Amino acid sequence: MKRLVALVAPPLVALALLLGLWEGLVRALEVQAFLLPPPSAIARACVVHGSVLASGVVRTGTTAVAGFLLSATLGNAVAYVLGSSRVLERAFYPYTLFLQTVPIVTIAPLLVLWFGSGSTAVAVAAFIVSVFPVITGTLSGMRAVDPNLRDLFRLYGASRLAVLTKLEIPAALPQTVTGLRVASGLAVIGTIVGEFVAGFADEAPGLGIIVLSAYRQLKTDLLFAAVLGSSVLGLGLFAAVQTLGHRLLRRWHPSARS
Amino acid sequence: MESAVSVQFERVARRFGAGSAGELVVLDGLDLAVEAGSFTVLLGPSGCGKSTLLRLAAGLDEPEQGRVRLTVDGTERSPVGGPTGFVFQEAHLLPWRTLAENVALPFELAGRPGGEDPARAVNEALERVGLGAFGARMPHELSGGMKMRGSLARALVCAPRLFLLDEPFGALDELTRLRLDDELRRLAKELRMTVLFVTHSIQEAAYLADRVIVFSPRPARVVGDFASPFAPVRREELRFSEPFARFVGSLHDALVRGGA
Repeated sequence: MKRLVALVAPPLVALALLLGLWEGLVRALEVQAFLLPPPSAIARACVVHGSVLASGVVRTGTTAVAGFLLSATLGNAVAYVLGSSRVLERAFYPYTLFLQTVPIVTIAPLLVLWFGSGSTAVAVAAFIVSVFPVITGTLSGMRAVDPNLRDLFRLYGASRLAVLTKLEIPAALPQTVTGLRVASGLAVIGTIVGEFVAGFADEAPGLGIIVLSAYRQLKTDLLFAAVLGSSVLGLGLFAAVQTLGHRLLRRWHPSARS
Repeated sequence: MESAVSVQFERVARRFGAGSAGELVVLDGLDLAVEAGSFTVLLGPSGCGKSTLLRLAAGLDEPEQGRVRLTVDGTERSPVGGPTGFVFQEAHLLPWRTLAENVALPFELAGRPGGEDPARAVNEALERVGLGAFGARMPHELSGGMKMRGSLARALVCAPRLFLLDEPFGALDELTRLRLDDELRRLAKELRMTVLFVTHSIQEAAYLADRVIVFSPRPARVVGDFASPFAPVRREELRFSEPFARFVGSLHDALVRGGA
């Protein structure tokens, strides 16, 4: 209990101090609310627009999770295939870099053409933004498998499939989890950017749309509230992946012990 | 019980990085015959090519010239997939599996020879190395010596007729190593395996072997071939006896004369 207080108290006190300073300065200097609203106004916006924000979090959250799951399954599948052959890796890995470097806003119009405006296109945007760390994480984990262990599997005449399922996939798991952790944050970012371009058709507006319309109406307090919502969402997804990874690795990997 | 395996290396040559500036000729037409059921120690300076010999015998590597023949009762068999046990310099247990699951690995990969019950064979192998009570532990919960024992159990579980060990106890503390030497020698005789044991420790070679083959630095040539002067059953006291010191001395001389 004491340790918990010692852990939680300093950042909470710092937060309170910062918010107090912000509130005080904005009032004392009479900063206009559309430039920088005081924390109290943002809190009020959270309550007033509560239902819109809540449904925005749900909308964006669902799409981000869909994009993340696409990344997790397809990204790992690609890594397992590329990891099973040096030739395939050399042939295709350079093109996965495309996913890492292409700015998503330049691709988003294409996605609208292909999938129509709406959450499908947005989820695909989230996938494109978040898949690369999954591929590299798992692939580098597979490449780092101890050669002596490979020899051991060869000695017992292990099939290619057995090497994959009993050696490479488990050995790469720590790096896979690291990749997924990075991807979880990127999926939320990709979703919100995707919504800017392709999110207008959704029945309930996502956080990206709420941010855009708040900006156009100069409702800066609502804008801040939406930013707050999206960071809560990102943290939530990150924490979920972290917990899952910890469970998977807890029995054997030093990173998940103690 | 199936008979033990004899191993013949015939004019075996192996180099690494052929054609490049850093080409290493590790073996250059080596001949060596290891009789079935013997405990043979390959003694030589580090990097002389003795580990390569083991890998060739295990079928993990191929010679460029010459060949390696494994024979059981006069018939030849292929090295890979056969009942060969291999123990590395370190234990190399899979960290995500319990000890018992690690020992069961060869069964999973190679299938079950002779319809044997895997769970029983795993237990037996663990009992043999004194780890009967530790099957449910994860590798990180075991000491270095216990991990190495687990590695021995994994190599023993498929009842190998040929047992290959590549400086297996080098990373352990001295007392643990002496104890494991004793256990290994006892197991080898009990299970009547052909053992090829690579080491650079002269004392270990002198204590363990029925036969010690001494190698020169790379490319490995046989510079000494000694039958052990000691009775098959070895006891701790042997290490401190005069004949032992003399045998160690002659192995040492052979190594030095060989250019090590």
